Amino acid sequence: MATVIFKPTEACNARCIYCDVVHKKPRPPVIMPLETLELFFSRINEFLLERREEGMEVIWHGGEPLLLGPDYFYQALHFQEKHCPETKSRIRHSIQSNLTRFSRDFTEVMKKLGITSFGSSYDPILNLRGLGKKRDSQAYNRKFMEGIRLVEEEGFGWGIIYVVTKPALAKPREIFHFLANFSPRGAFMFNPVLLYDAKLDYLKVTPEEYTDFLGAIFPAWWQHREEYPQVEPFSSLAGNLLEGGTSLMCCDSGSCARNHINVLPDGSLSLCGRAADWGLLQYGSIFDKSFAEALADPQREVLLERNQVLPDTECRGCRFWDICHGGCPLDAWSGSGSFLHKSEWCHAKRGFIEKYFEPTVNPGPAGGAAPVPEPSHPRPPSLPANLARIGESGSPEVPEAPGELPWISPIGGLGDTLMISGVLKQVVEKNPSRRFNLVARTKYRPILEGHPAIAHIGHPPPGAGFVIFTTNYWEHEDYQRPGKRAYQVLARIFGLTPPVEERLYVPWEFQDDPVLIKLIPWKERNILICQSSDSPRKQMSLERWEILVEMLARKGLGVFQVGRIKDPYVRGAYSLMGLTSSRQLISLVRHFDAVVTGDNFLMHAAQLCGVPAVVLWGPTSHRVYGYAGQTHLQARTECEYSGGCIGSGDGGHLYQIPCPRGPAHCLDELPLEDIYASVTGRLTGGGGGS
Amino acid sequence: MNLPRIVCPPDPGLLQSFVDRTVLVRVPSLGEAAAAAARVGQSGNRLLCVIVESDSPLADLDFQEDQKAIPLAVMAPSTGQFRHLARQLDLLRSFNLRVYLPGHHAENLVGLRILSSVGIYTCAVLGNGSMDWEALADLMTYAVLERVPHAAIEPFNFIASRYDPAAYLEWGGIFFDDPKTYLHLDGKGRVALSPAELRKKQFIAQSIAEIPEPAEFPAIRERLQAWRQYFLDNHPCASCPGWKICLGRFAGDGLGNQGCAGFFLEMLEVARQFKNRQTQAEEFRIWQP
Repeated sequence: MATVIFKPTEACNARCIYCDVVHKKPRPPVIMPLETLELFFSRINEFLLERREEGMEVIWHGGEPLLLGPDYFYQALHFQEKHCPETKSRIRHSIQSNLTRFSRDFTEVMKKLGITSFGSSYDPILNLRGLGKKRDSQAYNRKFMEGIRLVEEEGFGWGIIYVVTKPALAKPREIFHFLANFSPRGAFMFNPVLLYDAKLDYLKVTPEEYTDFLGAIFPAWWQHREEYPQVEPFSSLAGNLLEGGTSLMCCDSGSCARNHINVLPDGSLSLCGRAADWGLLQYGSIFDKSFAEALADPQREVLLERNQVLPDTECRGCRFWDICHGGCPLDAWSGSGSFLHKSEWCHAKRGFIEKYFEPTVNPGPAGGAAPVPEPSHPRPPSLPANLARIGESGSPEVPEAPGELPWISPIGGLGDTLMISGVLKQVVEKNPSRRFNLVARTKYRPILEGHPAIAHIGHPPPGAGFVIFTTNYWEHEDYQRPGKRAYQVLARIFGLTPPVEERLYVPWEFQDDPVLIKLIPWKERNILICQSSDSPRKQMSLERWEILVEMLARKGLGVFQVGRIKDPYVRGAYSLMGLTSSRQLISLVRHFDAVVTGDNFLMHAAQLCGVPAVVLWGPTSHRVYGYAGQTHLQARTECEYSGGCIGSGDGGHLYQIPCPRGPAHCLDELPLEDIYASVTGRLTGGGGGS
Repeated sequence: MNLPRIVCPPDPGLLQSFVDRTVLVRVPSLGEAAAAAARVGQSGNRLLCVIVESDSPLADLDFQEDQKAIPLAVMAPSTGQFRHLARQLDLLRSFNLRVYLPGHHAENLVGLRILSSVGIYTCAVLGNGSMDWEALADLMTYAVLERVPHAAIEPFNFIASRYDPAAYLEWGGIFFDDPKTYLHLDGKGRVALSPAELRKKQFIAQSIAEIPEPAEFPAIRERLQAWRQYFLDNHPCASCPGWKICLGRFAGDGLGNQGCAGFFLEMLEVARQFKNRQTQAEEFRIWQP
């Protein structure tokens, strides 16, 4: 969409200290004459008739556009109706105003122009923004507040640009909370002050200072980003670096040469407001040039050339080129006198990302910062059956836009998550730039948070069309094949070529809960048991567990039970049920001499921690899920499901239904003496095996 | 704007000076509640509740079976002797009752917790004296997050359940201190914006009839927009992370801003946890084998 920065007046009732417009010598006419305004809309129509696929955004700017009064806007509306009958649906109006002159008289015409929101500016620090020659801040602030109130009452939205000056550097968090409190439904944006007058050096901020200002705020925003309004540049950076966007604001778009035009009250054309202020990139006047001609002006070539030159010179190898494009060309010009350099604010952007953004967003497994993924990502190596586009039921597709990270939708039990984590670790070991987003589901987050393969945990935006991996390996065609192993099927889903080494992994350091450790009445040898499972068919009966516990206790072993707080208690065991999170349980397992469990999370956790385990298998198979080195006691299934009632793909519907065989349930056929012997054997150093 | 509810004494003449309004009547003793409720019904208005402004501790009030049907807001200075209260607990649990205790007394915070734990709905009246913010935070955490069954303690449950990050939350209405929802009349029908202003005889109108359009009435309009002054003044409350659920309620009375900021920050965290709990089934809190 072409963008016109439309300045029908450069007059302003305020004298903001950092504004270029109010300090330059006014050039007549102060207000764009109605004849010129009419021509302006005629030019828009001409442009849109030529380019039937395009739209045009008209940003009313100034000066202060509300000084024009409502009638001027009604005239604009009239000219739009008159000259753009076919094209008006492709014209979008927006406005930047200090709102100190807003009244209800503007409401109707603004709404008729399609304006639903006002962009504005505010600063709680006094004497930076103010009305009249004396720059009266308090009067400005009162009128601004009144304007905001009216705008809200009239049903408009609003947002704020906050210009970061030297005085603001002392209180970044206060300013952030001030703006977030003031604008709970709105949005706000931080911009560094750009000053070119030595008299104002006391207000200037360096790129490094601006970096630190943003860095002081960012963790607060990131922690509760769902709650705060859209805050720039954070929202855009997160969108670009974590969700595959490819551009920041207009100044970083690298495309202003193709689509930006600035129009002054006398009808003169230039690239943008700053170009006009500085007498650069002037394209003539709407009296003698169409917008198409202005957009094709040869002076724009230097900006296009910039996009070719910088990647081979100052921006060579920069991993942020795709989103930054060397920054604003006008900044480059002001710093070096040439457009063919990068902006000095490049350091601020890069510095912020590397010093604050990445360490906060992706702290890495050992606490060190791990780089966020490159803005451009390689395509997934293959698209197995578990890969689909969100919102599509048809065949999966390869992502078209570079930089879109595939999403993982984790399903399955927590034990499956340990396998997924191990597989993902191997994926990044093989391809260090590979990253995924993880669909946020509470039970998986504690295990996978901080994983080097996971760039972001959250929710795909509505209607997103990017690739998603689902971890339901049991529905994968490989799972039906003889010799299938769950880990290997997961490896294939994520593009590895089986067979791969089966290594479980968690991206965080084990950490004991000292209170819990102190609470446990340890004996010389201690066994951890878990009777429960998501499926009743994977549980040995409570009575048999109690006999087993009694046998173990008689040998002087400490027997401790873990599980959910509502799980059945095995009498004789010391209950730790409900006392551990998934992370805490994993850390706890390491303190035990052996584990006795069914096919559940504890079985995987024991393997992760290298603790000897005796695993009781019934309807599922140790050949599919069990690990070498563990002792597997596999019950014979003497029912109609010779391969196990829930172990194969067609038995999913039985997963939650108790076995109808009662005492003849396969797991209850396992001889307790064998279990007991296996446990004591492991304690005396006996090896694993089935 | 809906017409605000009217809080007034149960004077028959006063009650009949307006019709079809939602009314709360103030009485000084529990024994007058039934008659007050009846007068509201006879006046053609709707009763929301009877506010009993008692000077006696809760335990000293004589609750009777025939008061069960009356919606009651009992404002007492304290719980009193629990051994006395215990005799009435079964009866109290069957009442349509919320007990209000001043939140600035440490023993009342304990009392609120005990009442809640035995199933009595309560409210801590905040903002009237110096607060023990840490003790209040403990009570708030208990009120919102405790898994053992207990009755709601306001305003914490209200804040936790209504918190919306994209909006300001006004909760003074819990104890009738919100002119958008409640206007307070004295016996002569004069209108005040809050219970405190009523006590100080600071009236905005001589009668409710002077306020046909509350949203446009200058004093009400000004009060509802008063929060903007904090931003104009660049007051510390405007930069407080807890602003959206406090709105500067404790700014003006020198009650210790540091403590209130910490409390409301914690309240926000608790509200988030509360929301998370609502969207996540309890069984998924614990790991699943």
